[in-house]
Amino acid sequence: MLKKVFEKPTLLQLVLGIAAACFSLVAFGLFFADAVGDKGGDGLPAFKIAFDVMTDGLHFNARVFIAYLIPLLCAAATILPFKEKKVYYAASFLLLAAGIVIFCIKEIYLTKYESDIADMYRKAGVSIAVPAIIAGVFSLIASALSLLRGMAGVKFAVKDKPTEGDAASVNDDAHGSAEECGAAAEEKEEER
Amino acid sequence: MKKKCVLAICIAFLLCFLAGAFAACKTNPLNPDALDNYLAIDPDKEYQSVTGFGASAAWWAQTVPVGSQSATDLAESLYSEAGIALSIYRYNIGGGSWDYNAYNEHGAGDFVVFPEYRNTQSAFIADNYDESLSAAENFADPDNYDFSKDENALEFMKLCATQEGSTVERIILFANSPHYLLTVSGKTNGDYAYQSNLPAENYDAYCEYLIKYLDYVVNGLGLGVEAVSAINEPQHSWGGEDAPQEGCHYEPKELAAFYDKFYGYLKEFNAANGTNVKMDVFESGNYDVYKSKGRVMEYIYEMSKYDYFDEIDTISVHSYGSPTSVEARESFIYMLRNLYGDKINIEMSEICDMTAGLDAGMDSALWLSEVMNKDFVDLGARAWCWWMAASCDDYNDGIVTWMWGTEDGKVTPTKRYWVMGNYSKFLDTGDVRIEGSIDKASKGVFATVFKKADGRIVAVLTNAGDSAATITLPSGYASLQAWETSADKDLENVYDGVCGRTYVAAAGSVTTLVFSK
Repeated sequence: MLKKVFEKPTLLQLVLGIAAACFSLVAFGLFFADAVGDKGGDGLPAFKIAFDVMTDGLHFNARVFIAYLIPLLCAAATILPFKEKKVYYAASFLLLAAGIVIFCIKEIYLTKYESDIADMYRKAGVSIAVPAIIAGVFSLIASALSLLRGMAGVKFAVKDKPTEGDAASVNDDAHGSAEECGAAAEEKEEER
Repeated sequence: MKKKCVLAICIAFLLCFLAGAFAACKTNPLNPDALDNYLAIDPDKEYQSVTGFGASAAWWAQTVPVGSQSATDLAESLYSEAGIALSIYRYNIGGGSWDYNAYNEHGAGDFVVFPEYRNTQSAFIADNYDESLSAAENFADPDNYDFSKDENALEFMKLCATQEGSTVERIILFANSPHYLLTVSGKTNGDYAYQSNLPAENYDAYCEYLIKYLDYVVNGLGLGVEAVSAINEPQHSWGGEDAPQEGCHYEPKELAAFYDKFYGYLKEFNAANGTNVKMDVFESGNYDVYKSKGRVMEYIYEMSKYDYFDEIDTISVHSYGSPTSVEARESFIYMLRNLYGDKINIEMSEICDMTAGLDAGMDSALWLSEVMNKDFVDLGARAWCWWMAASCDDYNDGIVTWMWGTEDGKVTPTKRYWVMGNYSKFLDTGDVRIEGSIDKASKGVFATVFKKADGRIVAVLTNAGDSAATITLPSGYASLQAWETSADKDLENVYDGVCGRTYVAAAGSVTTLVFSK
């Protein structure tokens, strides 16, 4: 069971996974850290503000759940070699959503105010912090990399190119081992 | 193809790393040799002018016996050159909670020793209240006032302001709550959190109350008053059964409307008495613009809708909330400047170390120095005031400890007192903060730098680290004097001589360096 879940990834899948994990971890590190604040007054402590808006009225610690667990799960999902590639698509979607939320964070923050107060804050220069913009971009990059990882099916370890007749028997799952593919190719050859 | 992908990713990370390393290598033009712990100053780059240092006389001054040794010692230690030469006296106009003994139990924790803790006297004679008249008529009647009820606090203020060698330059009258007879709850705090406890129909009555106090201090005691501060920390909840002290919540629109009313009363008083008493606004509990209940910009915005805002050139704020946050200060100032340009100056009018367990040593004092540094540098504060000057509790709300109500009580300075003195004894009204910092500083080393009218430079140097720090001094100065506060020194003159190239700041110290040419 474990072998099926944790099957060896190809080199490209591994690289994409590590890259996606790095981008997402850095993104959320930037977003969560104190540096994503208003240094010099050019931005927002966006994360904290989004929580104020999103968690009003909620009774469990949504902050911890939304802020830390989901992104960490996403980051983990990008690197663990799950057999089921839908995991990577799900991680990609969540990272995309996180990136979009980051870019919309200013307007999310201002929704709770009356219109003239919201206008006052806009005139006062409330804007998204540069580190938060970088975090958003990194989140989108991590999303793209995670998507690529899910779509990647190329295997480094296969030496012989499969023939047309063998195409259907090639394991499209990115985690098929080189030996199995080699053995399957030899079997097909013998049958012929 | 695959190898190119890997190579591209590696190059991208390498470029990011190099960019970060390059950013870290920028040199401060004031420190061209990139020396460590270099006191970099630019006397020609000026910022705000200093308008004073002070503390509040709330609660404790009511217990200072008139004519007592305690009164003499307290006045001298706080408001004379023999002490730390504070220049701002903040007198508390009480809401009368002493009449119904409001707070002797609330907030009374283990560290409180004074039984009438946080109750206030009021000059208004509640028994005289005539229900057949309006609130405004009652509070406008001078016969309904007996200022001897708050004799201790009023006479102590007069002593501080008139003693020989007094350093008092500014007197501010401030209130935490309207009189309890004017509030919705009938108390000096709300029945529930965030209750707006002063109804609009009692705005006139509250104005009359404040003006009566102003009139007594100016014409009765003969003291000059700079400002009246009618509202304090309006955004806080100030309500509920566990309310620990007087306080009154105001919504931004309510606050702005009240100030409009009070401004009219002040103008009338000034015209009648030939005075220029200002309206102090608005003692914001913090400047955390991004905390959901901070709302400081909303209060200012609502005030800006009124004509009186054109006459406002100073806003008072408290440094609670995020006392050591550069970010919180910069956010507030950034928004303020974007909306109102340079019109509004800032005074920091209240802070204390809100931790239980008296810390009379350097830990709390070093924290204080950090707060002061950030208030001057990042907030641009012109004046700086501590909360209660004298405390009797196992708490860090005072700068001296003194057992309330005692006649011959010993006045014991904490290290916080001396560190305030590192600033207040060396800075006069009109001195200017200039560009100055410790470049390439060791952890915990920083400085706040000022220029005096005669050209001398005053640098308050803090070393909060665990080891001594050798500070490289700027050139061009002939003499140097140094006063140190540390674990074993109380604002002691540790150096007076030729200005050398370096100065060694002791671990855990605050030192005032005065440079002369």
